[in-house]
Amino acid sequence: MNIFVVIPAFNEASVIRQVLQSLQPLGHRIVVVDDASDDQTVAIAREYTPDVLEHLINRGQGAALKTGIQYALQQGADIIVTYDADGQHRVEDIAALLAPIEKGECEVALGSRYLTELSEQHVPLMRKILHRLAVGYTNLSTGLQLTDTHNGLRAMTAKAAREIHFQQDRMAHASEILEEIGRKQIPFQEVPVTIYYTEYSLAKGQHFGDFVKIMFKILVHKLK
Amino acid sequence: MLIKLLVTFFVTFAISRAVLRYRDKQFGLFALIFWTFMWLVVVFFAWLPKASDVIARIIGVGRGVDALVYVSVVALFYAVFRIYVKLEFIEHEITSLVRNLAVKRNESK
Repeated sequence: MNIFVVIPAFNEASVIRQVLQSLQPLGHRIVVVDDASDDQTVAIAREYTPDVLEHLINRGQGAALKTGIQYALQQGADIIVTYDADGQHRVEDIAALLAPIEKGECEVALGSRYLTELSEQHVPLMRKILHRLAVGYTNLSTGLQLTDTHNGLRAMTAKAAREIHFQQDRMAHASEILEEIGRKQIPFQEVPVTIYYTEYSLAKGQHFGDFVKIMFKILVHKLK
Repeated sequence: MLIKLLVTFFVTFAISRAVLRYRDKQFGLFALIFWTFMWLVVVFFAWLPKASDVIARIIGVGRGVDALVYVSVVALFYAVFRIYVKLEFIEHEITSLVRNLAVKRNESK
């Protein structure tokens, strides 16, 4: 089975080596989509994989993810895993995500930090409040019952990847993917995963202003 | 009186710009007619503000001038929304271009 790990990256030179080194032993094909970084992200990524796609100008995490997914599909991927470049994911969790898909139990496996006690303890309070708001909103708008919404660690079959059409270039893509899953009734499962919160990943992650922006983008998208 | 002259002067300028755009083929005939009509409406109400009382009566607002302000604010909000949507569309087009270039550049390596 062709498994592709798609990693959108923007100025991740200080952490991406470690991330790619940890992924290599799995033997999956790694696709790094560089979103116009101005550091050494591309050069480092090339040491580990020939599949490094470069956006000429910055288009956002959602756009980079979509580029990687499109490329993986073109290359004959059977399953696509999306993985953040900032070192917040645990490589062991990939196998946990793949298991229900390989057993044919679902088409999409979504990582949830709130199904893992260990992870729950480490989620900073402000982050927790933002996530609760986002989860509440997403559950209302999609009709799904989720425990986590903005988790970059997920896996999907090629069939599901072709069905999920997301348009949002920046952070709002995560909500949009879930809306697509809900609308198209794509079978999914939430899988417990652990998120490592480091000063680096917290600085790179979402803040309250981003939450407001995401809500606004989704609203405009629905109205137009 | 001064406001009437100022509005007329500005509208003349605005219509001349629209005509120039039309000549440069940046505007189609429909856009030229639309914008000329809109600006002429502005001049009309500047010179005959009482005429706006009719609109005020129809939409149930006290004074004609108030009705014009309300209608203008709503129209501007709508215009901003349309521009925002258009901008989003252009952003998506750019993303699509950047994406295809990224994939093609990798293939040619």
